[in-house]
Amino acid sequence: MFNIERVNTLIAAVSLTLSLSACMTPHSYVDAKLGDTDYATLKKSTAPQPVQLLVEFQTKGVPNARVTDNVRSQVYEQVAQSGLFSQVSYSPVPSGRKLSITINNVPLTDNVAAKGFGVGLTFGLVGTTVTDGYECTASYVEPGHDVVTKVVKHAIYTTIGNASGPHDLKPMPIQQASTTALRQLVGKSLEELDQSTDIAQ
Amino acid sequence: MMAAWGARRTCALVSIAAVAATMLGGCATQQLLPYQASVANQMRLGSLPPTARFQVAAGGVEPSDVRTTIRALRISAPNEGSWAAYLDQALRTELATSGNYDAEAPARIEATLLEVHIADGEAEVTGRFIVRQGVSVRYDKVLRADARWDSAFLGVVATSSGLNQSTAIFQALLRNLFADPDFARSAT
Repeated sequence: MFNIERVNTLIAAVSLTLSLSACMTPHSYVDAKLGDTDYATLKKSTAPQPVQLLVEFQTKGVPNARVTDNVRSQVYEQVAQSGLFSQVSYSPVPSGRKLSITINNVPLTDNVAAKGFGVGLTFGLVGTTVTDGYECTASYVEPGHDVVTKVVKHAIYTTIGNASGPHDLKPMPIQQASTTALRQLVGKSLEELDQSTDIAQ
Repeated sequence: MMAAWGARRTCALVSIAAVAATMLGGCATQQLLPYQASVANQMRLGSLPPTARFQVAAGGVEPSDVRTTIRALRISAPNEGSWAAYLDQALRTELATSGNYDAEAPARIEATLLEVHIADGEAEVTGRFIVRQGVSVRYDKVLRADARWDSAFLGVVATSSGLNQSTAIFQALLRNLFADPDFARSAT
């Protein structure tokens, strides 16, 4: 999903020097720090309120419409399943409550293209690891109250060629890593918002 | 759901075709996706008076100064390819998402696009915005947004960044409007 763009850069660079073979298949690893959020542990009001959901994905701080389109429904499902709100809508709600989720992909590895060329030129003997950082900014707006904002960070490591991934992490396809990281980012953001606000009052 | 996946696959195929054509030295055209409301703009609009409502006049004429090519990729507006219609859709989308759009509102925004420049590592968009309440003009300004970014060596990366920046520059133009205190005053 969202990780694919950066990995595509790497693959594009490799492809310019070599056609991809099986041994060059990328593997992704989701950082273990966040983990999954158990929504059953969240505070929940007996009378949850409707909320308007705004979702935006950014690449290096610039809105990325294509990826936003891809992640919007997953974020919606998670917010709905959290049980913090009675209804989640992309349209304004009468109370004016808004929840915005912005995910910014901040590359933590410089010169991805150059690394890709290196992998291709050595037929994959020299592998490389690319680290993608993700910053999820969740803001809860309730008219008459201060805006509450929480920032949660996450990372995905992707190896290509003869490179080993982090020892304690499970390799998975890029798509699965993206979905997992997004789920954990949104879950943790909701948990932090829930802890510091009366979100469901 | 299946239709969405179909659209995504079509989109992916178009992107691949565009990139392939670029790498082969040909010239391709890539349409932007329909405009999406920006979180930053929604936060700005949240500071308007809660009763502020606007209608949006139908899209104006196409600007005479349009240059939208990055490397060998020409970027075009969605649907019929009209940049004036794209600005019109952008304005309606932002106002509707924030709850400030009403097709019957007495205040009407007329947006006219004057120039669209999108190139390798830079973009500028200029537009004129007029807010009328009946016969009186409450707001009339020419606003401009520009952006600069590092262009990548690889064409595929450069064009991908350019596509993102093409959407962002229109969001920035509208942010200049929504953040203008005179615009907020025109709503009252």
